[in-house]
Amino acid sequence: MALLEMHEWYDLTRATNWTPAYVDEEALFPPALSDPFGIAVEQWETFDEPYKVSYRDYVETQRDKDIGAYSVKSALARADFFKKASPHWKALLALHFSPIGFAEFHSASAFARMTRFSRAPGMRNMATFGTLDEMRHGQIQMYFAYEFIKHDRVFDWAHKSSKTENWIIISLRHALDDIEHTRDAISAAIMTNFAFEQGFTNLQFIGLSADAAKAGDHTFATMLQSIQTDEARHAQIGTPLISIMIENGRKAEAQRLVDVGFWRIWKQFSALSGISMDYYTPLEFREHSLKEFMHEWVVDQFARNIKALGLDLPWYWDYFLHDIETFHHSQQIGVYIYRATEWWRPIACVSPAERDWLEEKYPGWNDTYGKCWDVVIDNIRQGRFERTVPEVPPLICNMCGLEVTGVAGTGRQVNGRRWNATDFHLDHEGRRYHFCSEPCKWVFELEPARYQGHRSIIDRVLDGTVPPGPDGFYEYMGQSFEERGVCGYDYQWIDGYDPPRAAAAE
Amino acid sequence: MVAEVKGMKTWSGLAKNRRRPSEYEVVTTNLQTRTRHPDQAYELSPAPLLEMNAFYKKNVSESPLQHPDWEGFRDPDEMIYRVYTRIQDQQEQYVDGLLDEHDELGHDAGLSASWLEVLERLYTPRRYLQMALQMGAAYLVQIAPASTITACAGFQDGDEFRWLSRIAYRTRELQMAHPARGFGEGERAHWEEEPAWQGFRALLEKTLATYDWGEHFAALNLVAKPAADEAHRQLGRVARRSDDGLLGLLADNQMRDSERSRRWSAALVAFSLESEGNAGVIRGWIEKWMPLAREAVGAYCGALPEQDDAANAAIGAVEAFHRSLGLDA
Amino acid sequence: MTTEGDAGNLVGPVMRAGEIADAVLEAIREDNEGREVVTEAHASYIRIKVADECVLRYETVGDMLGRTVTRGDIESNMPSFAGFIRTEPDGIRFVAR
Repeated sequence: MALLEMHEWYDLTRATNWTPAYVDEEALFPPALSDPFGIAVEQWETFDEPYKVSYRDYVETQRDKDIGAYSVKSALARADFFKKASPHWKALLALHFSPIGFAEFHSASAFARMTRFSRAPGMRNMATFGTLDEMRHGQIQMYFAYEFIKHDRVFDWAHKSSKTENWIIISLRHALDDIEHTRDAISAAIMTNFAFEQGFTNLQFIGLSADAAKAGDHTFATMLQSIQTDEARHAQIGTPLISIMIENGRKAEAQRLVDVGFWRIWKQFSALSGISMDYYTPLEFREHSLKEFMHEWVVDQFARNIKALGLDLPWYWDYFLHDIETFHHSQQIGVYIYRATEWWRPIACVSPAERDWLEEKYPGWNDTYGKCWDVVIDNIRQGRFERTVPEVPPLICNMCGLEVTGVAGTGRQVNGRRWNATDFHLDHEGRRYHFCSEPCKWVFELEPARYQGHRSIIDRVLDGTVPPGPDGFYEYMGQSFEERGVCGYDYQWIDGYDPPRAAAAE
Repeated sequence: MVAEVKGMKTWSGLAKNRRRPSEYEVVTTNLQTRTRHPDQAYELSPAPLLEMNAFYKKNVSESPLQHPDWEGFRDPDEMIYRVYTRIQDQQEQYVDGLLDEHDELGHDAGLSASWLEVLERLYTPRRYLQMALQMGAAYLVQIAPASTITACAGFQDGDEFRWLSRIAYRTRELQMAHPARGFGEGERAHWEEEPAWQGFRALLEKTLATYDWGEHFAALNLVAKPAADEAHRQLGRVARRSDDGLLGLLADNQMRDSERSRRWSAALVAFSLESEGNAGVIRGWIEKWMPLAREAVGAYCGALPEQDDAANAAIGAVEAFHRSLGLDA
Repeated sequence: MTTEGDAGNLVGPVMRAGEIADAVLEAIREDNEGREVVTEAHASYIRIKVADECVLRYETVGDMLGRTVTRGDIESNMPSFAGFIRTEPDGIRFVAR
């Protein structure tokens, strides 16, 4: 073949900046969308893509990836696997597919902002692939979620959740819109490509794939990893940007973008991956705990990149290390007891054997979270099902949109129970905002105007946005009666706690 | 015993359709989140507190182009990602074949000096025009009020980069064959200074600085892109007569992508015509932007050698496209 | 359990378990001769790590498989990597900085 090699001509594809003459530079690249840091265009032109791909190579590689990912098993075999899957695995699949399909497709827009508004030509090229990649991720996940809908209506939420006002979806949109969709091209890229994609996506898309492979769900395992091969490429947009920012005296700004983006996305993955890995994955298929995966992918692999680039670990790092071991355990309790507010069938996943595993991975779990579950278990055993569902709505964080929790069994004794939940609050322009943690409050204080007008689901109940009446809340969240979560095991998971009853039944 | 599980026939959001949804509809519809509330496209402080919510409100919610349900739009090609990469991989294989074959025949060495000068002035600087078209498509991706529109614009974004890349490739080949000329070095100056390009540069710069989503769509996809691509078709025609068969074939292949853009753009116009008032709005935008396009095409095509009415042919093709849109009252 | 920086400056690809991963491991051993290559196998992926710098050449991977291997073949099977990446005409370098 007498074709040129990519490196012989590629530089010309990134010699594409010109000086506008018929409109002002600011009209073409408004700082608020392009670069609020005032870095010279010649500096942005030094952007050197660490991971270079040509369009020609891209379409070939991506075609092959899809051939592989779509054909791991026949549709019939996939349907069969799903029908036989346990409530554990079905809950895991529902939790994955419902929010992620639309969120990834939506990300195509974030990359398009980089293509349109970045003044770094190489970044525009990479971001174009990013836009196409995210359309792929949206579409492939919609495709596989759709196969399940014939068997389980829960998967309708892969399609419908994008526009609902369900509290979990609000929480996700708030985080993603904050870091990906409402900032200039440079800030969004540092937050999205570096803090989010390099930082966390490995957790759900590689870590969880190991669990899926063990569970025999090869289609899911392959799809996850195939998606991540795109992320590994386009997530590299962030690193040259951080270097350019530091070289141009903008280290503090880059640091802040990383710190905010990292925290916001951690809260989402803590709930999503934490519950998936430490609870919904059947015990026999668990490769590692969330904590172990977090140490592998984030505390080691990603933290090294932060430091190697010349930034510091986020100021809340010690608190974050503590949060890795605690936050998702509290969230799992909340997700189970407030199950009617979710569209899938949540499960408790605290059978005696599962508790042993949790105690091994998180020493002290039984003395803390275990005690909360003991109350739930006792109520179920006594047939007091209504007492497994709280009457009062939870306190929701005005930043992450998740429940304000703490470590159970420790801290102050309130009404006979110990629970160290601390409400970090802030009074701002006439109202009080509640936060689950110091970093969530700190993010708010950095840019109050960005957040202060947003109302959490609880704010909406209190201000009358949510219609009154027993069904108003659910209807507002898009949940018909059939779409309100019930215990995925119909409470029978507590049989493990009741050997006499099991023996009597024999 | 576990909780009872029931299935459904299709997404509830598509259940009202009588027809069984295609794969395209299953994987492309309803994936947008930003059209839920006019003041709050993004799940943060509403407009005007959050600048981006004010921006979206102004440029989409308050655009003169309105439809009660943009989500109802469908791409006539029903293009999905896994088909796009397959089709474009085939097309790129074909282009690789063309380049390889012409290289073996010593194609570039045989080009005349006068034609090389045309290529230097009027072909290789087009990568800047492609960049502008790519940026324009990328704006549509992020601003469009439905995921089915975002998808079309996303593939168009990819197509523009495809041709930017192929022009860069040809630029380097020409530079290697004719190192004494300015290939690979003079393109930016030609784009910024050559009178033949200034019309297109003005048209594209102004299009890019147009943020109303409807007007941006009309300026880019109904005027600027068709005009730029039709001018390129004319370059391909002239190339054939100047013994540059390769450029003729490349231009033909580029027109395949251009025509897909026109198919979905026409479908989006047809869809918007379901709402009263839009015909006049779109017609108004076309009338506003066409003078710039005429000037651009005139300047560019007028600079082509032996062009025998290339400008009229190119503008005629754009006007024929407009007549096909059903905008005339 | 690791603490941040525990793995020091080990860099290299994370490969989807399979024949490409096996060939990549063999190739990395050859192309980084004289340096320790650490592996870590998980259920669906394998980590391959070398201190400071890890060189991966497409041709060497191809030699292991007895067929041509392209950048795309590697990318399709590489969901992540440790360190920073530099794509080069004939392969990939992973570096600690």
